[in-house]
Amino acid sequence: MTAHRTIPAERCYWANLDTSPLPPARSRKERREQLMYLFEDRLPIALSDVHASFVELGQGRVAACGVATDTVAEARDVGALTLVPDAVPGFLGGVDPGRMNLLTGAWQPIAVRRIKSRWKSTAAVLALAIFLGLGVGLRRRTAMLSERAGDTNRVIDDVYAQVLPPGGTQPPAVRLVSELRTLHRTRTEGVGAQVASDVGGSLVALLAAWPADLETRTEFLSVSEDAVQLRVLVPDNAAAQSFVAAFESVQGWRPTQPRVNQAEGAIRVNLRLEASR
Amino acid sequence: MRRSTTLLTALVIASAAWTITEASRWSGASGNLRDAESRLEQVTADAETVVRLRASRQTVAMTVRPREDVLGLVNTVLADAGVPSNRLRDVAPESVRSEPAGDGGYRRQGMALTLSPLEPFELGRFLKTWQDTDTVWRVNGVELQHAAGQDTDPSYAVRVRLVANYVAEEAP
Repeated sequence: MTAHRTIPAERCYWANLDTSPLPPARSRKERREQLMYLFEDRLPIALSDVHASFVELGQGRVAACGVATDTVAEARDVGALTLVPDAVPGFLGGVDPGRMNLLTGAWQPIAVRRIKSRWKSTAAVLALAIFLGLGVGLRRRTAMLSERAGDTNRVIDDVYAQVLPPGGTQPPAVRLVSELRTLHRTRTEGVGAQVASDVGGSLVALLAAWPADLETRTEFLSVSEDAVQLRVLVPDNAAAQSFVAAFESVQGWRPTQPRVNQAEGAIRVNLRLEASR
Repeated sequence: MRRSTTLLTALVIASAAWTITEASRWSGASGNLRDAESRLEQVTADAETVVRLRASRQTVAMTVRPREDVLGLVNTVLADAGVPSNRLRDVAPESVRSEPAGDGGYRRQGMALTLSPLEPFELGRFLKTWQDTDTVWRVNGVELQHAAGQDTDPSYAVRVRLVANYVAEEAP
């Protein structure tokens, strides 16, 4: 007894089927049913008494090989694993006989069926193990990420608590943005040059430029953001010239044409400096 | 045999579904962590800015300052500068106006002080003390007018213009 048996080609029913008129099949089972009905016309015996094997030849042609079910049952019962014809007729385009195993479907040997079933079970168990392992890994990773997110949120709450005053009905994120906006609008760094400036620096610059070696009597002095006005009395024209010259290089200020006139036995100088920034 | 295969198949499908659910939860948790870390970065940066700005001097008030505040402050500064309080002759509020520069929606309120008689060194002390005081009021203008006909008198009538900016809730 051999596990791989052959059957003489003369005992088989052969056909080269044209499948082009067939509608597309939705499954292998439906395809097989379609081919069996096509094959039925070529059989001298009832279709129910034949088990067939089909091989696609391409271009809509299919090679069909049928054997009486008694023969197939006999081969299976003696423990054969495969049953193939010993040759294939020439009109089937040289199909390999090994591709036409007849112990298939309902006639599949129990041993083969067991092996296939075992393989499927093994694959299923393997898939189950992989999915379970992957799932457990993902679950642990998710827990870790959630814990880290919780820690990060706690740190955020700590930052809010450190920066914001206690109480308040608004959410801390809104309060922080509001606080930031208020500070930007009210503190030096954020406000910049958009608001009134202090003229203290201008006054200092002006007094620093004041000529110390001249006898002057200040009648009027005005310092504002935009202009400085001076009205002084000096003894003579030379002193007036020296006084005006002293303010020509005050940083940030540009002197305009001075007005000089006689007054009270002295020279009165009216000088205006304009902001050059 | 068939029953065990069916059971095994059902188990595989169930485990695959569970794994997909866990993957979805993992993806969600991963996104949450990214969001939290990004928020922490932003909040930390904002908090640092808040601390830095709080340490800087306040130059603008949130609302208009009452006149009484300035009067109290002027008297305090005069006392600290060693200038007798009776030199303060007048305190005149000026009308509120919008800041000409910028688009920050700031408004300016002004106050004119008249100090007389005041010698230059007293004015210097007053201005220095004012500068050292933490206030939103700034010295925005100074005028010294010498008393006419008194050549030997070193005193002046001094007009000090104070301004305070405040945040206008609505653009004027």
